[in-house]
Amino acid sequence: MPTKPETVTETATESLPLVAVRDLSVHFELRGGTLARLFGRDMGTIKAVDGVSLELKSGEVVGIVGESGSGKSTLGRALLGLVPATAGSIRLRDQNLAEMSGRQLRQIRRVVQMVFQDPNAALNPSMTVEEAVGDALRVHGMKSASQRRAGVIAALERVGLSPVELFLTKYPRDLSGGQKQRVVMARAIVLNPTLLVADEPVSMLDMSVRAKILQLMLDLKHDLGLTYVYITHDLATAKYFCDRVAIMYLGRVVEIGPTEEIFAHPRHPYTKALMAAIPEPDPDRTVPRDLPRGEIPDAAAPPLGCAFHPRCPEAVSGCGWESRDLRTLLEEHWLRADAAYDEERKVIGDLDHLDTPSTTASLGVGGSAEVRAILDGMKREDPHEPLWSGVQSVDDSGSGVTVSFEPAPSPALRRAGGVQVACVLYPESPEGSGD
Amino acid sequence: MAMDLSDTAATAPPAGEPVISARDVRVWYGTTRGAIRAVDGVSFDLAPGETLGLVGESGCGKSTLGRGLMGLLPDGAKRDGEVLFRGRDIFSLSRKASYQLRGQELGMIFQEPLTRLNPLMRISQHFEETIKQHEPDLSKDEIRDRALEVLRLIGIPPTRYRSYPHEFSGGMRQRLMIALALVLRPAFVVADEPTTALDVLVEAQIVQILNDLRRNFQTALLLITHNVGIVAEACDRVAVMYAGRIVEQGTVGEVFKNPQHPYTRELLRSTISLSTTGLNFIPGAPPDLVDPPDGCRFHPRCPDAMNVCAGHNPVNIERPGGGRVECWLVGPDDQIPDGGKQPLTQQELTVADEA
Repeated sequence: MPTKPETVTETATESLPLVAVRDLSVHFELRGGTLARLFGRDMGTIKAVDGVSLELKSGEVVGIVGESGSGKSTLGRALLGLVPATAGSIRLRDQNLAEMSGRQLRQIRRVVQMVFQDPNAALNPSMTVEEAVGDALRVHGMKSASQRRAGVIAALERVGLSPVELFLTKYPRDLSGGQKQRVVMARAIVLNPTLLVADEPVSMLDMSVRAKILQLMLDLKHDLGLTYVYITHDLATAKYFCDRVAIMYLGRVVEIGPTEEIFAHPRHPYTKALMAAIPEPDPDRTVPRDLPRGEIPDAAAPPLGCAFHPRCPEAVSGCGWESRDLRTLLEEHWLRADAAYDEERKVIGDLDHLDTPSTTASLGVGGSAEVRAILDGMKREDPHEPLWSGVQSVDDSGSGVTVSFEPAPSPALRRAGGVQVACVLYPESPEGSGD
Repeated sequence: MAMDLSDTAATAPPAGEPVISARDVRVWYGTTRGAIRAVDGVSFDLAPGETLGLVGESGCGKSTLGRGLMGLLPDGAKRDGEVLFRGRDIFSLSRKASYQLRGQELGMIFQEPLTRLNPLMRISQHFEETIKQHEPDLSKDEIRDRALEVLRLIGIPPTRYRSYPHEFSGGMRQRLMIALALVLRPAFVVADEPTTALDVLVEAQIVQILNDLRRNFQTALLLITHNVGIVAEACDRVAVMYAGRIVEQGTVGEVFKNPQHPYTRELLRSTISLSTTGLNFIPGAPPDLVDPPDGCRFHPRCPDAMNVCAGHNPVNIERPGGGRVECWLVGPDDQIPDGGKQPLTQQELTVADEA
C-alpha cells in the first residue's frame, strides 16, 4: 500500500464509512417435507438477520457479539455476499453488495476476506501450506507460479510463520492449532484486502494461544491498515479487541456503541447478563444467582414483543408476554411443587397448544375455579414474577380459563447515553440521559 | 502424609476418608514412534462432596487421566498405578467388576451431550435403561419417581419426562446427561469439559448446577476443563496439569492468588477476562510426550528456568500455604547442585514451535 493516498482516505473516512449496512435482513425459508412442499404449505421463515444497520469506518474494529443462533455469523457472511440479502443494502464505499451478481461478488472478495472459526475445517487437508495460501492468488488471476510463490512467502512472513521454507511444504495435519490459524490468516491477507471478517477466530484455540493470535491480528491491522469485523460469543476478548461493539440477539442488534461505554455502563439486560456470565479467574467472585433462565429460543418462532423477554431478569409488564411464557411458568412451578404435580396436571391438562404463540391462552380442563386456584397459588408463590403484570384479564371459558396478555411491539433501537439500546426500559430520551 | 491429611481436612467441606485416592497413575498409548506417556505419575485425593478442577492446555493428558480413572481407555492404551476407591484398587478389578462399578459408583459426564443420547429413545427410557442395568428389581413407577427427583434438582420439569432428546435444547441435553450420571448416586463423577460446547449463559447455568451438586449429592467431582474461570467458580481445589504430570495442586483460593509454579502463573496470566488490560501468552507449545524434555518438562518455555531445571527432575514437595508443587524455584534448596540456581540460558522460542 503506498503511503500517500492514505492521508486522503483518512480525511475521507470522516464523512464516508468503509461499509454501511442499512436495514439488512437475511431470511431463510424452511422447506419442510415433500408433502408440505407439494401442497404449498408454508413452513415458516427463519429471520437470521432482521433489520440490522451498522457502519464501519476505515481502520475500525467492530465486534459483533451474541450466543449461537443470534445471527452474528450470518451477518458476517452477508458482508462477503456468501448469503443473499433478503432486504436492505450493504454498501462497500459506493457499491451495493446486495444487488451484485456472483461474478461481481468474486471481485469484491479481493477487498473483503474472511477468517473462519475452525482452522481444521477451513484448510483443505490435501493442500500444502503453499498451495492453500497461493490458491487465493490463483483464483484471482495470478498466473505466474513464481509471482504466486513470492506472494505466499511475503504473507507467511507477515503472520510470523518463519523460517518460511519450513512451512511451505507442510500439510495442515503437520501443524498445531495456532499455526493453522496463522495459515488461515495468511490466506486472508495474501490479496491485500481492506476489510477482514473474522468469525470466532480464537474460540477453538487454547487459552495460551488465543492471546498470540489476537496479538497477530492487532499487528496486521497496524501494518496493513485493516478494518475488522470481529464476530464472537466472548465478551472478554471483544472488550480487549474492539473499538465498537454490537450485541445481537435473535437476528437483531439489541445494543450498539463504543466498547468503553458498553462495558462501563451496560444497559440492555442481555448485555448485563452476558457480562455477568463470564467466569472470572478470581476465586472471590461467585456465580451470579440471577442468571437468565432458559436458552436462546427457536428462531423460526421468536417470542412476541421483545425477543429476550422470556429470559430477562428485568422484564416488566410491557415486554410482550404470551402463551409460551405461561407454559414455562407452569413447568417452573411444578419443579418446585413436586407433590402437587400429578393432581394439578389433571386440572391443567395438555400444555402443547400453548406453544402456538398468542397473546391469549386458554388453559385447563378440570373446571374454571380449580384452574384459577392453581394460577393464584403460583402468583402467591412468586408475586414478583413480571408475567402477572402483563396479564390483562383472566376469563372463564368452558372448563378452564382464558388468559389475555397485553400485546407489545418489539422495541426499536433508541439512543440512550452514548449508545443505542433496544429495550422498553430505555424509551427515547431527548438528550443523553439514558441512565 | 500427615501434613497432607490436615490440608484436606481444612479445605474440603465434609472432612473424612477420601473417596478416591490415586497414587502414581500412569497411562500410555503405544504408537509406531514409541509410547506416548500421556499421564506420567499423577497422585491426588478427593473427599466426598469435593470438587477438584483439572486444568491445563490441550495435550497435557487431562482427558486421558479422566478416562483412565473410569477404565474407558481405547485399545492399545495401558494404565498403571493404584487408584483406591473406598479402599479397593479399581485398576486391578476384573472387567466385569469394573463394569458393575461404573454407573453405580463411578459416573462420567461427556462434552457433547447430543452424541451420548439415543435419538430414538425417550428420556424416560434412558432412565429406565440406566437404572435397570444396576437395580433390576425396581418397578417402572419407582424408576419414574427416582428419575423425576433428580431431574427436578437439575431443573428439568416433569412435563418433559416422556420427550425425545431432539426436543431439548443444548443446555437441557447437558442437564439430562448430568441427571443420568447422577441418578444412581455415584460417589465419584468425572466431568470432561462439560460446558465447552455450550453458550456463555448456558455455561454459567451448568456451572451453577455443578456448584450445587456438592449440596444436593455427596458426589466427589473431578472437573476437567481448560477454562480457569470455571475452576475458580465451581471447584474447591485445583490441580494444574502439564505434560502428563500434576505440577501444582491446592485449594483454588491459594493456588490462584499465590501460584507457586511458573506454569500456573503464566496460564492464569494468559487468560483473557473482562479485567484484561494486556495480552500475555506462554511461548512455545506443550512437548511431544513420546520424548519429553529432560528435567522439568516446562523448562524450555519457563521464563524463570534455572540451570538445575534442565537436567534434574523437580521434587514433589509441600506447597507453601498448603497443597503440593513440583518446581525447583520452591525447593528443596539442599538438593540443588552448586550453580544450579543460575538462570538457564536457552534459545529463543519461535513461532515454528508454537501451539
